[in-house]
Amino acid sequence: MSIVSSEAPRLELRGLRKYFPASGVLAVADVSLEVAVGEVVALIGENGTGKTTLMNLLFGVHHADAGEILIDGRPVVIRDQQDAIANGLGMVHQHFELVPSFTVAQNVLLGREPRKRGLFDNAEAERRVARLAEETGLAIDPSRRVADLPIGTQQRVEILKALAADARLLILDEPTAVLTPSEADELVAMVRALAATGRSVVFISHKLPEVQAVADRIVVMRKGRVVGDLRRGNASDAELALLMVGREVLLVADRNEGAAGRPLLEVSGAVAPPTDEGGSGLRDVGFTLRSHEVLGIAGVSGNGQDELIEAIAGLRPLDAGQVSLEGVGLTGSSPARVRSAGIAHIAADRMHVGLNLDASLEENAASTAYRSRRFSRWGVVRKGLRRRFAERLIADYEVRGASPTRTVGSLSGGNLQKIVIGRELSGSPKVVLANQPTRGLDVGSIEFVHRALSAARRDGCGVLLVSAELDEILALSDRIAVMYNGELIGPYDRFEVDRERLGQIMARGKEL
Amino acid sequence: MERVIRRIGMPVLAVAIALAVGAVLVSALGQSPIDAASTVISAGFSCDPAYCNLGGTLAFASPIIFCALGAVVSLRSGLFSIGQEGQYALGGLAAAVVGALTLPAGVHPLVCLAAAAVVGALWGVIPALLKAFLGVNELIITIVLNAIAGLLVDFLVNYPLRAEASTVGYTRPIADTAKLPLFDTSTKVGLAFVLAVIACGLVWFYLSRTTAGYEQRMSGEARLFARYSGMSSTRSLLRAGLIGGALAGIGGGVQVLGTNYRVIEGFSDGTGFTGLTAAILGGTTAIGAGIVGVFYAGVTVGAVNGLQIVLGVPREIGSTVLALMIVFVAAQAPLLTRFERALARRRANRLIDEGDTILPPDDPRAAEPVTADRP
Repeated sequence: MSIVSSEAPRLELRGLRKYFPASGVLAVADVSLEVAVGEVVALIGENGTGKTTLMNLLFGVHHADAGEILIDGRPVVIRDQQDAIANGLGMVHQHFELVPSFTVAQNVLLGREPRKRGLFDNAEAERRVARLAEETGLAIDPSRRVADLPIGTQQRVEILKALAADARLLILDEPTAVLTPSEADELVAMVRALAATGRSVVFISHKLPEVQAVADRIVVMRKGRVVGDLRRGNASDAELALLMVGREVLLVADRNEGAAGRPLLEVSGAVAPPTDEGGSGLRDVGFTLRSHEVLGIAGVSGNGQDELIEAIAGLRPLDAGQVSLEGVGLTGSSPARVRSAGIAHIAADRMHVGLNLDASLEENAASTAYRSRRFSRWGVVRKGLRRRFAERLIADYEVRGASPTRTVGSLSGGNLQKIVIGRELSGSPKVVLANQPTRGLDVGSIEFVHRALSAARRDGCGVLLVSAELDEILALSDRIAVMYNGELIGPYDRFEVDRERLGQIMARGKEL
Repeated sequence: MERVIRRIGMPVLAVAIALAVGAVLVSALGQSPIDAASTVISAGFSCDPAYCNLGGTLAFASPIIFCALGAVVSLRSGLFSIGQEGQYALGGLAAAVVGALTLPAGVHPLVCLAAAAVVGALWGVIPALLKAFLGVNELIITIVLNAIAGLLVDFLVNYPLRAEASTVGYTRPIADTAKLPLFDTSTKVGLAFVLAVIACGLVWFYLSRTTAGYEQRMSGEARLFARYSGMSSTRSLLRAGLIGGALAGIGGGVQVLGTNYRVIEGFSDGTGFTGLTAAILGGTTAIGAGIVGVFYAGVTVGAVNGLQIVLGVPREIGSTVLALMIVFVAAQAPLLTRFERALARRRANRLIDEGDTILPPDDPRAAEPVTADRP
C-alpha cells in the first residue's frame, strides 16, 4: 500500500455519530474510518451494529448528528443520494434496483442515456457499456434483457451502473448474500480487479472466509463503534468472530447452585426453511431443556436462532421434527396453545412483535392472557384487574415514565423490554424462550433482564437463552450450545467450554 | 392523552381548514360566507315548532351512522373494507322483502332488521374470507362487491321483485307492521335514530371493553404482535367482516323501514360511502362516527335546503366542503409524522448537548472479562 500513502484517502470519516431518538439507539457512535485509493475495506459486524446506518449516512438517507465526511481530503455535505453520487460514491444494495424489462445497457445508463436527434441511441449505449465492461473487467453482454440474467450477473449490472456514474468508491452491502458460492468467488475476483484500477471498495459482510479473501483491511463494528481495524492476515476467523460478538462482561449473574431438574422442553429432528430475511433455517436440531436450567444458544445471528425460537413458539411451521413440553406434543400448535401449555416468549423484536407501540401499557401487559380469568369474564375485559396488574408491573419492574393508560411508544428500549419481561414472566411459565433479550439495552437494563431470567431459573423455569453476546451466554448459562448454519452444536456443559473454544465453533461450525 | 388529541384534534383542524376553503368558494360566487354558514346551520340544525330541520337531519343521519359504525369496526380490525355501500344496499333490500311479508306487529321490524343484518354480514364476510385465506386485497374486492351489489339490487327491483309496471322499478311497499315508529311524520325522525345512538354505544363497548374487540384492535394495529401474543388474526378478520357487514346492512334496513318503505332502483346512492368518510373523519371511533354522521347529514341537508333554495348557491358546495375535510384528514397523517420527527430530532440534539447520559456507556469492566476463562 506504499503507493497509496502519499495521497489523501479516498474516504475519511471523522467522529460520525447518529442517534435514533424514537428507538433510543445510538446506531453510530463516533466512528472514524479511512479508505485509501485502490483499497478494499471489509466492514463486518452482526446485524444491528450500525454498518447499514453508517452507509446511509454516506448516502444522505440519514444525516449525522455530529462528525465529518471527507472525500479525497475535502469535506463534503451529503444531503441526499444525488449528492452522494456527485461525490463519486456508488452503492450496490442487497436488493437490486434494476428495471427487469430493460436491457443491460439501458439499465446501466438509466438517467444518462445517449441521444441521437432527441431519441434514445441504443447502439451507442451498448457500445459505451461494452467499453466500460472491458475497462473494468466485468464481462457482460449489453444487449441482454436483465430479467433473463442470473442473479450474479444482475449484480454485475448494478456495479456497472454505479461505475457508469463515475463511482470512485463503491459500497457493496452484503453482496454475497444472494449469490451461489461460485458466483461469490467471481465477485471476489471482480472486486480485486476493480481495486487494481484505482477504485476503492467498502465490502459489507459478516461471512468471514470471503472477507479474508477480498479485503486489504478489515474493520469490525459492534454496537455502533469500530472495535477492530486489522490488516488482512493479521486476524484469524475466530479472533474476528470474538471481536464481532464482543468481549465485555456486564455482570456475574447469580448462577446459584442446584442441579438441573426434570426435562421440560424437548425438541428433536427439527427442520425448517430459512426466514424471509435470509437466515439459514434449521437442520436436524434437537435438545432437551430441563427445569432450573438456562440453556444458552450462542452463535453469530442469522444461523437459525430465530427459526428455532419461532418454531417452538408456534410462529413457524416445521418441515420435520417434534416439539414437546413435559411429554405433551406441541408440534404445529398455534401460539395460543403453546402459551397456554406454559411457554413464554420474549421476542427479539420488541418494537414490532413483543409490543404494540400504539396501545396502552395495560393493553400490552394483558396481551398474552387476555382470555384468561385474570383479565376477562364472560368475554368482557376486567378493567380493574387489568389496571391493577399494569400498576404492579410498573412498580415491580421499575418501568420509568409509564402509566397504565398511556401508549408505550414513547418509552425507551429498556423500559419497553421490562414490560415484555414483566408480562412474559407473570403467568408462572414453565419455559421461557428469551431471544436476544438485552439487544440494544443500556447496562442498567441489561442487568435487570439478567436478574429476571436468573430469578425465573431459580423458580424452576427452563430458560432457552439465545444471544449473540458471548459473555451474556457465559454468564447466565448452565449449558451452552452453538448454532452454526442451521445446526445445533453441543450442548456443552458450561465448564467444558471457554470463550476461545466457543469462538472457534461460532466461526467454523466445528473445533480445530 | 396523545391518542385523544390525535383522534379529536386532527379532525377538528381538518374541518376548520375545509370550512375556510368553502368560505372562499362561496365568496367567489358572490355571497357572504357568514350568510352561507348561518343558512346551512339554520337549514340543517335549527328546530322550531312549525318545522324541525334538525329532525330531518337526524332521520337522514341514521343510516349514515350505521354504515359509519360498520366502517369503524372493519378499519379498527385491520380490514380495510370500503364495502359498506354494497352491504347497505343488500341489507335494505332484505329488509324490504321481509317487510312485505305478513308478520305480527312488534316483532316484524325486528325480523326485518335481523334479515338486513344477516345479509349485510354475509356480504361483509366475503372480503374477510378472501383476505384471511387467500391473501386477496380487501380494498379491491370490496370495490367490486359494491358494484355487484348495486347492480344486483337494481336488477332484482326491476325484474323478480318489481311491484307493478312503472317507469322506475321498485319493490312492493312494506307492511305497516314493519315500519319503525316515527316521532315526527313531517321529518320522518323516529326510532331509527334512537337505534343508531344505541348502536354507537354498543360498538364502543364492543371495541373497548370486550376481549373480542380487544383482539380485533390489537390484530388491526399490530398484526405481528397479535399473532405472537396468541391471538388469531383469522378469527379477528372474520368477525370484523361479519359485524361490520351486519351494521351497514342494518343501515340499509333502517333506511327502508324508517324512511323509504320500499327499495327503488338506484337505492345504492352513496350512503355507505358517506358513512365510510364519516368514520374516517370521526377518527374511526364509535362515538366520533356518530357525531360526524349527524354533522354530515346536517351539512348535506343544509346545503340542499339552505344554500340552494335560499341563497341560490349550488348545493355541491356542501359536498365539496365535506370532501375537502377528508382530503385534509388524509393529508394530516404524513404532515403530523414529519412534525413529530422534527420534534424528536430537537429533543435528541438537546439530550446529546446536555451530556452523554443516553449513550450506552463505555464499560470500564470491558477490558477485564470476569466470568470468561473460568479456571
